[in-house]
Amino acid sequence: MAWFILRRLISICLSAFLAITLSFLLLHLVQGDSAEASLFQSAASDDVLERRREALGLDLPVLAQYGRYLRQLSNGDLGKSWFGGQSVALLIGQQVGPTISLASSATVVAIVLGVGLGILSAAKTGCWVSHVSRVMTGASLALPVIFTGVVFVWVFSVLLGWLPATGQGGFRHLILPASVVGISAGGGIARAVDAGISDILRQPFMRTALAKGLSRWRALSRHGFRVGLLPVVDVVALEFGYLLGGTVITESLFARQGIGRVLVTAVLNKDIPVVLGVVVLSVVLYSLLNLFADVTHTWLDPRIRMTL
Amino acid sequence: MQFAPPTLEHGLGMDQLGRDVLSRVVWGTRSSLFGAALSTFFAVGLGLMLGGAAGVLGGWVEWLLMRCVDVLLSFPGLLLALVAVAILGDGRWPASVAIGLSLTPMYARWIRAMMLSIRETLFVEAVYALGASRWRVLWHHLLPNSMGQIATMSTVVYARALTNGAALDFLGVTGSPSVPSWGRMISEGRAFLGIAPLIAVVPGVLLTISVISVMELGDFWRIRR
Repeated sequence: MAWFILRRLISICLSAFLAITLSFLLLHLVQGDSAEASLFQSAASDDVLERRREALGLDLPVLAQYGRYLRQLSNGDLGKSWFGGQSVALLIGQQVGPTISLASSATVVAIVLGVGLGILSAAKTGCWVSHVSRVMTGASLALPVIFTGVVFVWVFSVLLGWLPATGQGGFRHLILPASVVGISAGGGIARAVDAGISDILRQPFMRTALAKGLSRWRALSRHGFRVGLLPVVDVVALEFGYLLGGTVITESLFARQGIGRVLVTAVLNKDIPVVLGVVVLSVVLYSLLNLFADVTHTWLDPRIRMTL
Repeated sequence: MQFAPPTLEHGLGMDQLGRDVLSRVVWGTRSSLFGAALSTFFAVGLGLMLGGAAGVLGGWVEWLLMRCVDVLLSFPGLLLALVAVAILGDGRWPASVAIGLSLTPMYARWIRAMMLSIRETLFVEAVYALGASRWRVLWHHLLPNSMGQIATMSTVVYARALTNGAALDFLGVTGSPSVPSWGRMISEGRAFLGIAPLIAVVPGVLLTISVISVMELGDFWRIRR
């Protein structure tokens, strides 16, 4: 087990390194000049320009800048924003809280919705319940977040006036954005659950369980779910990673603070260090989530533990 | 004539600047559908090249390409598109290319998987035995035999390109605000949901209908084959 985790950690480090290198070089090679241009638009004299460029390390060749960035990164320093000059780590650290609370509450919505729909689709095959829940799964996969978001705001805050449409705050401010993101993520989970349970229902041990007189529901809940819901762990971890990205739109839509807003502003300003910081954060988070899913999976499923 | 209600002359009423919403929707349709087509074209072209190269050449080329694809796939699609916009610059064309780029890894992975399955079939072995080169096998046998699947996958890519394109438009990172697009109309119109909901809701409905239609088309092709 330790060996397995170690191997995964090494491959994670390699991928993260590759991703950071790729994005650093591409961002600096392609956008470096125009970013500098927009950065120095306001500055007065060449003298001032030169000093600022030196202060940011932009006078060095790209490879030297890259080396410097890696050295900083190994100390946990993500550099400074070109606009405003705050530390990128601090900037992201301040904004990561709202994003995580949105992503985790959206995950709860997605799990409840996805597992519910998936189980109904698989366990009630042939019944209208199954058809309805499969249609709902399809809708959840097809509906764009911006559309559901706008419709939810329109219906629940403008027409009905039940919930606040924008802003930060308590639980009430979280309901709409979390449902919008959760609904769009629930479809994937529902598909996985549906496939998992349908597969279980064809297994010999389920036939045995049914043959000894258990009802379909009881057989599933006593014997089926433990095995059939295993894929959910993987999907949920994946979806959580995607949710951190998916909150980009929702944060804009509901005027919330968070990483998504930071990224969009950075892209608009061509604030390369901040863009890179978000890249680093998401690579690390995503890899750790994947590792977590793998470990949980092995822990839950003795069959995999054997083969390790 | 701000927020004029729908009339016969102006089918969907007017927006905050007194512009005709229906004609903006029509123009938005053009830029949204065309932008997504461009992204798809780009993703399919590049994905075919990368996935095809990996599938046909095998060996270290395949290993390296697939490693890169794995790394890119570990980003959420929209994040990748945003980073690509940061690299390529904002504007209609760069944004479409950025979305295409962000969808390429997924497509390349599919293509390679498909190539692998066809590569193992007997007829390909027979063609190799007849002395055909790898490129002949690729152009005359692998590609023609996977056209159906390629088309089906492209519909999925197109649907995603539509959604992500609208999302980028919505976020306002795709250049000039004067060119209407569905995403931008939704973004502008959501402030006026109380007075004139049609400005935001109609483009949203059109976007949804387009995405679902494209996905249905893909399903239809898959089932018919």
